[in-house]
Amino acid sequence: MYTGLEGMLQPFMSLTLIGWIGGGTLVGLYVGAIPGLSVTMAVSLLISFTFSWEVLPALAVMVGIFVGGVYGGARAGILLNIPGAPAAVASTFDGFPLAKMGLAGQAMGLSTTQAVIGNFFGIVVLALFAPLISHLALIFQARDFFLLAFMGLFLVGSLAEGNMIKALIAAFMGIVIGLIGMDPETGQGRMNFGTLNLLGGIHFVVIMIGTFGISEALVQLQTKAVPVKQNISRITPEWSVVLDNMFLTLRASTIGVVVGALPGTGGDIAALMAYDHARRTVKNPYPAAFGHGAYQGLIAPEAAANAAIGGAFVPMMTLGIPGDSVTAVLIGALIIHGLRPGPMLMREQPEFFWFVVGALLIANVFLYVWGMTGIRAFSKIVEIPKPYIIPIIVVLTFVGGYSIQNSITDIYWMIAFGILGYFMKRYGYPVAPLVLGVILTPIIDENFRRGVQLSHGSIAGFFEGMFGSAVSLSILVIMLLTALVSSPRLMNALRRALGGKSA
Amino acid sequence: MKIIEWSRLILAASLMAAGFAGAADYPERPINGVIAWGAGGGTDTATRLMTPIAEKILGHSVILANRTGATGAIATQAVSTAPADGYTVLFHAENPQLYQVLGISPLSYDDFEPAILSVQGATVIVVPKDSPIKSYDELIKAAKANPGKLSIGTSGVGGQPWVTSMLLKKIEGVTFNPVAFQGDGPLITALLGKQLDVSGLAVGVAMQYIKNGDIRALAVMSNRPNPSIPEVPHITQLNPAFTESMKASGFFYGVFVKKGTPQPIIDKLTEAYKFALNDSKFIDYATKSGLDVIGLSGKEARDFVNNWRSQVSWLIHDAGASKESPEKFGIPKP
Repeated sequence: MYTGLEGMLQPFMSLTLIGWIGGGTLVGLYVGAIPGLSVTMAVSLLISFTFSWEVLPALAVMVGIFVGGVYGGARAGILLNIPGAPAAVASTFDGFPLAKMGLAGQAMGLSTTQAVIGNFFGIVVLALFAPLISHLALIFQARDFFLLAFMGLFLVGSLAEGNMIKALIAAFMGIVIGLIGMDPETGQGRMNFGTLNLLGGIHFVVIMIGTFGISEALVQLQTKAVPVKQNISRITPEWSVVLDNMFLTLRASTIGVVVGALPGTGGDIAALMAYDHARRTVKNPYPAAFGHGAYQGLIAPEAAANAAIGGAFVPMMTLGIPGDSVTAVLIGALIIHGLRPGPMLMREQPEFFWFVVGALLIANVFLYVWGMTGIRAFSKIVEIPKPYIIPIIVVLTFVGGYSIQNSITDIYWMIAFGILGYFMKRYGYPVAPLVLGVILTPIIDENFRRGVQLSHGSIAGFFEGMFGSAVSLSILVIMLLTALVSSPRLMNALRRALGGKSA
Repeated sequence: MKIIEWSRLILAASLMAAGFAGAADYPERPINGVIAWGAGGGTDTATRLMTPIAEKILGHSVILANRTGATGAIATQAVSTAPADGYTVLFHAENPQLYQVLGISPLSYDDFEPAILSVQGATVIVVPKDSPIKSYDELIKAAKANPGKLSIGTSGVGGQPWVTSMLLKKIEGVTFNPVAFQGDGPLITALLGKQLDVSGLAVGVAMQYIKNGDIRALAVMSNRPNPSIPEVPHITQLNPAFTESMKASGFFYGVFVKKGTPQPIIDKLTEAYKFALNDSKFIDYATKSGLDVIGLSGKEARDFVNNWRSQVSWLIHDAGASKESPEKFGIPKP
């Protein structure tokens, strides 16, 4: 494990490499901040761009983009209520209300601090516990993914804002939309009405930028609110806020690393689950309630999304299996450069593993620098008059929407979901459960069927198996505890039963 | 009247001349390359490695873009609606040859001309490292003793692991319990985690785990040894009954243009990509990825894709997993 440790120093000893990492982080920040322009796409473009390069500078710039891009997504989420990347969906829930309170600078400062801490946590886990975490990825079975995604659906409750029926309707729509397209096993079309355009399904990022981005532009066109004057006298977060919530940061980072390390789930799901966790465990959020501008509602998803980076590198480097969509592209990029990540590379050239750890550390330093220096300029974005800012946003979302799959059909879908999102917001239906449904449905669908196939076609065997497995039981216990902790009635009953005083 | 007819004739003649001139000078501007699979995948990687080398012969750049979805049917459709002038090129794998029987799309490689079939990949049958099954014969024995009980990983109907399990059923008469995974990543995870008894995997993907001792290789589904794992026996050596079905086996990547593209243009693309296949960087990639460089073009390429379609279409149909009979599309039985 600790052979090739000298590889970690390699990026520190070359100014060129440091420059590439720093440049990558800066570019990533802006790519991430633009809705639809994703890290996955930026890294794919870099494959062609860095084709003739040496492998180390190419890897350095990609690591930088990865780290910057995951963080950048929160910027647009906080300032405009439009997540720049899927991992930033959860950051809009409390980030945007904070900006509306005139605390955009504070919110961005806090998101930077949390990103840096979460990222650092992920790197430490990658460096020290990679074999342990990759073992977890191996024993995680289909039924465990099923349970995990099912637990993700708990979030619908957190996002209901007092009207559970409307939240459930939105989530149900998301689940149905998530089923559209080719059946993952038989290749047959589902709900595609015979058209090829629907056979590929509707990409969830297209749905996300439609329901969040276009609909927000429509809402803002209608409401004649005056831009909020931002208080940017202070941008570094008060240390008391950071320290007070350090335990939450660490719990969220743990969720981030584990979910990031599991193949098939990435930072987006990690951030949503961490938000749900914060909402259920933090009893006294401030300065406002959850969903209305709580620091805790920003801390948890930011820490988790960034901790997921280190997590995603764990199976990629140790097993050669991508932990998320970005590491999937990174593996392809390394293969082009003649390296195939996995157990053989770990054995023959372990210095590559440590090079990645070193590059991540440097990227994390740059993240703090770029993150903090850009805040004042970014805060001005909220103050720009709407006739100027909204057209710019719409153009950016169109560019982003097209670039995901180079498809014009996606633009039409984006507009359609924008209009749907507008009416949902107008009539008090939360849009986040819809996106959540679209993200989680394929995971639940595939893993339920896979789990039943693994128990030789027996549905009873699928559920029975959960009680014989330590991993499944742990998830079940966490699910029950979460339900318990977040229900005041059950908690009171429990306290009374235990003889304690009731609240 | 006369004048109009004359002018029509002249117009037609000049258009034809322009067409020929276009074909002779091809390419005069950058070419659009549509990759049917996502960034980082096998088709994408091979394409992005070949193209910069081929550009040296073409003299213009090929602008690559990934159009993913529906196992490449969306990209296939997009290229088939572009003009047949060689400026929209499809980089794809074997999948279109199954679109018809699976009811995915009416298109197939009948609607395209292969400029080149670049590489062919083979599947290797593998078991977890401490499995009691030590050889191909033991696998067949174990499967015969427990029909339909051993769990075999597949990547969905028509994918190579699935085709492998169907070939074993056809030739050896053994059945398994198929478990579907989305792509190679989750499939390997389950295999390393010993959740499966057996699986087929692309040689390039499986190679490093075989060499590291994480999984055991039993047989390569091919009619010749694989240079990347020469120690593993090939299937026709173990059982000659596989000879017929191994004539066009595995998976392949290629470069295609719409049917009706002038022959000089196809020839130019063939020349450029053949040049790329001989480049040491590409050969190195192919070796490390367990791929055979085949470089087929013209009639050879056409025979290969047709033969491949016959083999797999009928396997799918006989397994009851087809939406349409191969007969409907005039696909002959292998």
